[in-house]
Amino acid sequence: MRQKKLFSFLVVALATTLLMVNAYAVGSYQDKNLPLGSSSEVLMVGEIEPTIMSVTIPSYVPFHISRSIEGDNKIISPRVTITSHSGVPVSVDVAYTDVNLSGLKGTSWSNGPNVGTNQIAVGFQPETLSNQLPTSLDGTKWLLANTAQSLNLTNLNPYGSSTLYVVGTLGSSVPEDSSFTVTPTFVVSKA
Amino acid sequence: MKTTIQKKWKAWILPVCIVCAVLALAIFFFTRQRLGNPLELENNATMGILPGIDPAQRQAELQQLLDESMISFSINTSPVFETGGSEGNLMLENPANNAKLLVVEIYINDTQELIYESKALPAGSYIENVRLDKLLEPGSYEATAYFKAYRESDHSYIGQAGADITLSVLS
Repeated sequence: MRQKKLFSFLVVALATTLLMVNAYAVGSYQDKNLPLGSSSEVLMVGEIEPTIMSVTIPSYVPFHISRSIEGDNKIISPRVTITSHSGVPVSVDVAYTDVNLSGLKGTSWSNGPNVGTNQIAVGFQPETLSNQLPTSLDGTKWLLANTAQSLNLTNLNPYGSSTLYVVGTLGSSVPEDSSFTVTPTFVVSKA
Repeated sequence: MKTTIQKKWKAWILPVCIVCAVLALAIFFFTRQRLGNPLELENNATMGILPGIDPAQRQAELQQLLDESMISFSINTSPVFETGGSEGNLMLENPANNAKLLVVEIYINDTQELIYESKALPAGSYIENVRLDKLLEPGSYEATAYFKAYRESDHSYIGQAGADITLSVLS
């Protein structure tokens, strides 16, 4: 009998405690409600994410040049594909071109399509037909030898890519049994 | 009379004729070998198509060389340094698919002063914060970060590419 009363007391005490906790929780929640016509401040924290530029670009461009190639463009070039891997539009420029013609006796560099008999000119052209080497020199962006230049080659959209070819020509007296090096330095920047 | 001629023939003329015939044959074969057989195969010949004749083949070879030279990298275009001597968030990355070592050099555009040079970054690694090698005054600096690529196998130089960045030193 005594145990029964104790059990009943414990049940009532537990139920009362639960009701009190519940009522307090509801009260706390209701305290957050704003009465009509009042105002409150909300702290908003913004963090500036750094702009990361991520690209794939050639560090060296090999090519062959020969008078026996048909058309105005005398260069066999690989497909030079430059890719952006970030959400940043990217501008691709040539900042400097190191040219070494010491292997070609009496040969000099030309900055344009009109070459003398002992001259060589090299530049870049965007791909117009997929997987086809350009045959003409129209629209070529010509490289300057051993001089700083800011030659914009192409612009990439976010996560975009662009393909270029090396193009160029050579004069009739340039010896064909030797090699020379043309080393452009590509520089990418936020467009 | 007849016997004398026969004796001479057997004893002298016949052997001389045989020796002459043998000599003539030897001279014939010797001179034929010396003058050259038009059908003799050239020892210096290489089997296959002459390199450089097929433009498509040449382009494929060049493509292979170019693919080896491709480098990937990431960099923060606007790193910030609290002070000239503190670390800044340059965030350099050499992605795992690069298969090359990268060394980064940063030059101030106006003065061409080298202000930072990293050690070699292996493929699949990054540096989040760096301290510059030169102490810079507060201000904004246009600079170029050059990524120099080296082969993993023998550490030989492949080539380089650059990225324009703007450095900010706050105080």
